[in-house]
Amino acid sequence: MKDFLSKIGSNESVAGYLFILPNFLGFLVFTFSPVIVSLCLSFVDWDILTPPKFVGLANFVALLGFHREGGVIVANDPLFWKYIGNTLFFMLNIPICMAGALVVAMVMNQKLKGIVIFRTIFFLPSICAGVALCLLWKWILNPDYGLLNQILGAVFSLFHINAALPGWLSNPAWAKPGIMLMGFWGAIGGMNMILYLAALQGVPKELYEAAEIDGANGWRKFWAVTMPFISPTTFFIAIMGVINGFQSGFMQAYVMTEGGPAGATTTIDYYIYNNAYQWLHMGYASAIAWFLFIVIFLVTLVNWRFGGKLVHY
Amino acid sequence: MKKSLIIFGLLTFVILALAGCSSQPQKKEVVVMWWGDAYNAAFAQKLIDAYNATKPEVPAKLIAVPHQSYNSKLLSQAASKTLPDIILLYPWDAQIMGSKAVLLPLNKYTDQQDFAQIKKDMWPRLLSAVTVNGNVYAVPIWTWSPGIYYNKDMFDAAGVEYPSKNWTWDEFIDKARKLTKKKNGRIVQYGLDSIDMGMGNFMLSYLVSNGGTFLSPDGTKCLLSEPKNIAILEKYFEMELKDGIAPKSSARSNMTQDVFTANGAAMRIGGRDGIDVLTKRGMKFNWGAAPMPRGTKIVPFQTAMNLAISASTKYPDGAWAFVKFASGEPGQKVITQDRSDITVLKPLTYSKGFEEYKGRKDVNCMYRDMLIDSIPYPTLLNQWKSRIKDEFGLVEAGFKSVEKACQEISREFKPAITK
Repeated sequence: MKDFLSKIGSNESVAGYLFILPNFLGFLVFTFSPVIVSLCLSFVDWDILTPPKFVGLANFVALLGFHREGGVIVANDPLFWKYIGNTLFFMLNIPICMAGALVVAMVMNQKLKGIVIFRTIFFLPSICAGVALCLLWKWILNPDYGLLNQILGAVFSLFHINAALPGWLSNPAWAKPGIMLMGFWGAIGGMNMILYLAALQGVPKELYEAAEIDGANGWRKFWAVTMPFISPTTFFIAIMGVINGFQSGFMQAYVMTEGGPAGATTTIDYYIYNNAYQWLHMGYASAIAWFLFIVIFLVTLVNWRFGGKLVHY
Repeated sequence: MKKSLIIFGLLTFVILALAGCSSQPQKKEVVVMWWGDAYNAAFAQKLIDAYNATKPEVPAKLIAVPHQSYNSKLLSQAASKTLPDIILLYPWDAQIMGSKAVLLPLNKYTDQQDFAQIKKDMWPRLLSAVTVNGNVYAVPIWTWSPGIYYNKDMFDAAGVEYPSKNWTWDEFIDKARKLTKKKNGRIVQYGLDSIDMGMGNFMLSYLVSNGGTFLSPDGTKCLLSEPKNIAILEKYFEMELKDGIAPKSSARSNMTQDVFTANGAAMRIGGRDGIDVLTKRGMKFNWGAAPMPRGTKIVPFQTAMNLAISASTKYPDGAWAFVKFASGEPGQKVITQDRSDITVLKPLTYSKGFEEYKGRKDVNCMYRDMLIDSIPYPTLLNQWKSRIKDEFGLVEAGFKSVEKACQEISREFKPAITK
């Protein structure tokens, strides 16, 4: 025993493995195993209360298949495609948020008195609890009593605009823009702004000086110097944004809208949750989760393959 | 140093791993899982203390679970076959879980002579709401049925008569319309604080009391797409869409409880527990309560909380002893003492304690009388309930007609229980 302990004690690689062992075990038990179990579950019909029944690819057929109904081809699960549409619609916010974060980062990159305080203020939404922010915005977006419509109402009356106020969160047409507005507010000053700020501070000043000597105006300097230099950051933010975008919307739906009105704010993430824990379709929920994983994986591959060409390292 | 660090790490890991394998001798007791906040947990503990004071063969022990995580805990325990012995459940959950063999059928106990008196005293139809294919899967321990609270001051200011015991839906709509006030084109006072758009108690009551039918008698078909039902629901939707008597769904989701108490609406749908809110200090208006309006008939829907016994319990007899205690007179007195939940034993509601609760005999007696005719809310699949809400949400937003929504809802109906 003493020899054994002395042997492993003197072996550095064994020591290394021992150090990562607790973390590795945690990953194995709480991440890797559930992933494998969810793959197995995607081939069964399981309502949690009764034993699972093997159904082969039936969950995937129900999810992705189509059938003919009264001479028309319809999806087996039209709601799934509707919620895919919702998810993609919400993802339109990604470039808008990126542009907003870049603008804010450029403003925060100015050498002004008290700029650190402004940076802190803009970063605050990122360190606030998401649920609290959702509740706050639920009130702001309330069509009858919310702050936003109170302000819009005052503006409308000031300019004699005779139009109905937006039914944020109550009208299916306005619910998504309402949630996106909240997302924009949270994203322009969050982690993306910090990443852009760091990238902007890494752009060599000599290049701006050289550009000025060549007669470049502000706009030209931005496109010819700033953008290429921060392109790796833009690429990173875009990749992460797309990955997060496919998995987004759960908290907003859970806290603010319950996926409504009329399913307008239900994303794929919330649909997985509903299937698994509200409707007890654990197998079907796993199938959706795996489909989502494959989509994210492929989109990320495409991003790397083609998006990488636009990056200047 | 390096060697001793590794040995220390290894030892710690082994000790921690082994710590989880220790076992303790099991105590003979039944575990009761109850939901709620500190107030509810304290009241459940009071019931359990009263039971344990009778020195039962198998004493009871409480596990209080917050309401929000109750369902997920229940499901994970059911999946891992570690459900507590006794579980507090809604009737529809009892029916669904019972039909999946997760709960113990209780007929062996409910058919016994010593339960006959409790059964006789119980409000009619409460037990049928927890029965599937002849198997009783739970026993009700408190119940409620909705009525309508109204702000007397608003009625007086608008010159509108208070609702009578026999008021009709037309009268209800007329009053709500008169009580809805606008200022500068915006509604500043609603007739009603919210309209149910998901086929809950209120909508269902409107449909059925006006002669409509929701499900076929055997519960296998949804009949909403029938022209008669569509016509009734079109009139129902007019209340919000044309008359604007209640706020839209988003405003409701934030303020269902507050619009009425904050003097923003003249009426509110609610159970007897509304008395607790309205008799709090700071409520500066006079109020009353009326039964649900009637159409061709009056159809209030009832719900109850029930105690079910897990199929995997080691002490079925011990668990039943507790359930019987809770649903019998001794337990019912503890459950309903100083609380607004209504006892499941009809004779107890004629006691002074019930009638004089918070000094509102008129309201207490009204809620009691509502239970005489009330029928259980049907058991529906959550998924389908969600579809109803979505489809009627589209109607509310003006994107779909009532007819199209009803057809879609009926088409997608799946019965919750196979009979």
